[in-house]
Amino acid sequence: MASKAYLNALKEIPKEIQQDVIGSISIANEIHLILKQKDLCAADLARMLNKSESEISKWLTGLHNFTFRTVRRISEVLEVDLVVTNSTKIAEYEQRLEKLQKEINILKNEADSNFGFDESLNFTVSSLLHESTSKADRYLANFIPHETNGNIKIKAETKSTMYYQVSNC
Amino acid sequence: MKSEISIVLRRDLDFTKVRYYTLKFGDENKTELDKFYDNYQDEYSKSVYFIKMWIAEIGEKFSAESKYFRPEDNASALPPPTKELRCLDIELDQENMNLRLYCIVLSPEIVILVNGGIKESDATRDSPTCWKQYSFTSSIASQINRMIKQGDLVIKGKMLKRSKSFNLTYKK
Repeated sequence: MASKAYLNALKEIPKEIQQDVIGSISIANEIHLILKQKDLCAADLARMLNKSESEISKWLTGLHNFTFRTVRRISEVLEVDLVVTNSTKIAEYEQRLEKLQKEINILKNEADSNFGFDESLNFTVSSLLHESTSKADRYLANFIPHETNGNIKIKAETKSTMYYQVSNC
Repeated sequence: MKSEISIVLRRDLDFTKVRYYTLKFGDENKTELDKFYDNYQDEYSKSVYFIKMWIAEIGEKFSAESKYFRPEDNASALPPPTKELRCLDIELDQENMNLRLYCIVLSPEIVILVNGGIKESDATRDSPTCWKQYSFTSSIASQINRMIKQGDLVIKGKMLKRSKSFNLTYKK
């Protein structure tokens, strides 16, 4: 839970500035993770980008304001998408939600045919909650590479956000 | 004549990992941090917001590690250092990185935010507004270090305990 001071500070600071600062740190963290997965070090990335090792080390402190060109070059040499656009994310959510809606409808029909009105309503709500929760879990698991699966803990806040998004879209 | 200076807790900057303090001259109403914001918020609003965001991020998520502060002899400054990378983001750098806020990092949990100025050249000495505030911050940092060595100022977690016998002073 963020402190009151932090939440108040964010109210005052323009979103653009917040994203610049938080974005530079998150890209640095992402590069760290990919290098670890690929069993590479900062020196390897420096060689691949034809940059000095000290420059790359600075990038990985999370204090660098990355330009898009720099991010693109890093994405190219590491063969990963460091930036996933909102429209791509939304399209993925929509596909998954559509599938989920179909499954919910099937469950609802089954429940309606097996129980009375009150019972079917309770059954449907709990099924919906259960389905949303497990779908969100599976969706999050897609982002975790197999070799690291089990070693990464998904924060409770991230899960809550996912449940919220899945159940409110 | 020397003025007395007190260390003031910024309740609005009491984050999960860092508690920020500032300084206040006994004969003035405003704290040094408020004077800094008043001086630069209008003309350098983007730079001030950047600094505020870093204060919040360091305070909430990271703690006051040395890598987040520019070393300035016995004092420090915000925003965090990016000197080696200026060639890559020169536009952003020129737009946002010339404003300095001097501070005194006492521990990973305690930082005193002082005042700042515009860095107009590589040497702080050649930037009048910066030099004035750096000299002030540096003098206070020396006095605080002496207080800590003598046991007149004790750091306990996020708290500062000061003996009444020792006062911070500065000739304006």
